Amino acid sequence: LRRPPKKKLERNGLARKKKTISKTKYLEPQINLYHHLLKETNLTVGSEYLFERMKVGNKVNFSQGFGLGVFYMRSWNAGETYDVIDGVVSQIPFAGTNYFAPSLSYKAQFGILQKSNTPISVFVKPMVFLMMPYNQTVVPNINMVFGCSFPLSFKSAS
Amino acid sequence: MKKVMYLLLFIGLVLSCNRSAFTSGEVLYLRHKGADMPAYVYGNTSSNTFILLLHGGPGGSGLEYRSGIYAEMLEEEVGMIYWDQRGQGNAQGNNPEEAVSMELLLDDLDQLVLAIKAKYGKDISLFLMGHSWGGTYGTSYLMEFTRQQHFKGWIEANGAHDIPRLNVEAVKMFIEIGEDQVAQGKNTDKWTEILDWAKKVDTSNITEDDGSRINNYGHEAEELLDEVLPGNDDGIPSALLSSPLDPLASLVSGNNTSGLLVESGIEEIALTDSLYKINIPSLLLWGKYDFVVPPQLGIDAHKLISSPEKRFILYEASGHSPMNGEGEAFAADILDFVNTYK
Repeated sequence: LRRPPKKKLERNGLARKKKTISKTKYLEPQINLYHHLLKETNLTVGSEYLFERMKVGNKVNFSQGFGLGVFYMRSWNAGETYDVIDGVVSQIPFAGTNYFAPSLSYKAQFGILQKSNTPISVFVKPMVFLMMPYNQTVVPNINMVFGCSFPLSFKSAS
Repeated sequence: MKKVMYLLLFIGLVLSCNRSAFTSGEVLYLRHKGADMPAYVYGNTSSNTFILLLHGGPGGSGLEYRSGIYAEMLEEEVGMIYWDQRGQGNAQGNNPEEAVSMELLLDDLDQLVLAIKAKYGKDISLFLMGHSWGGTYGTSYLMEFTRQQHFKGWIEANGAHDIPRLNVEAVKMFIEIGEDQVAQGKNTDKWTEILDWAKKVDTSNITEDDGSRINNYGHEAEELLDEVLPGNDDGIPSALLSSPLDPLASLVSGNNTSGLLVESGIEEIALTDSLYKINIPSLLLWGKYDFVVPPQLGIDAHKLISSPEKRFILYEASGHSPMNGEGEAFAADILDFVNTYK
């Protein structure tokens, strides 16, 4: 297989536009919390290793990535929890269940207000936690995270 | 300043979720032997009359039953308790695998009754209702006289209180109704398939595989009949849209628990000969075209239950779930029973 030299292609006007891909890997500590009025309050604490990829110079500053995480999950029951011992009923405060929960996620992120002094990114991130042990098995807990991120310290390029 | 505004905007969005959409009911949990089991309570709790519903499956959930006109009608008059049994629905926990058995489930129900009475008062009128597998569970529970004393009445809807017998009766129904449908030229391909299979089943030795086929064909056969009314959209919308049920967790966890219960021997539960032990008012509700739990079980129960206060009602246009197609009549019959014996 012979490929023509790149310079020759450029001279002929056939050269493809150069793409520059920025790849980032980072560890992101996370604390996630949600409250469902009739189901549970759910807290996850852990870290996610994210692999992000962005085509430099794209108009909407779009980037996407995948994450693998390890979390501790705590689920608090939404209502009063009763325990019965020898016929005596008592309430258990802050009752709930603990899980080990590895996670998988996909993240799509758009940068907005990039030229201002306060650039922000908005993102959508479907995330699956695999709760274990959950009734002697592994149960997926699917979350959709919508969020925005902004740098606490930013120096404008201009 | 802008950063603070964005942060406030985000917090505002989170806090603006509408509370009223979720708070028409309340939930209490029973913690027992490694499991936290939610009981969702909706409806007219001030009536001091409650129906504790044992869901089907095993592997179902209480909230699956909170939909349709029947649930709306019942909730207008009484408090409905939709309980998620151990390892099913939204129940959570990590109970030891070897412990999942009917004995443990009966013990759970003992504790739940005490918890409900602690919360709503010892003087409440409490009825027990079971559908399908809930009929196996409820009937097993009522085999002890002291347990019957917790309830004002027993409502069994298409309840599987004798699994070996329901298998035999289902095969008979497949053949009888199948031949009639083929003679009428209705869905002949599917009915011929079911008939060919049913005629080969050795009813004196029904295997686990046969039992599984009976269940699958039972649901399919019901769908083939013009006589069975489909469910409609009246009343409370489907639990998937209007409840805290986590369908994925319920499916995965429920299937696992169902497997554990089958391994523990629930398919051998046969209580027909013990039905005489039930002495509380009983209402037996059956769909005429139920191939999954044939109406013969309800007819037997009506003969054998000792209580003189017993009723058997057959819904002519229903199969395994009369609360769907004939929801209004189903709820009216339950309310009539509850109002008589509360």
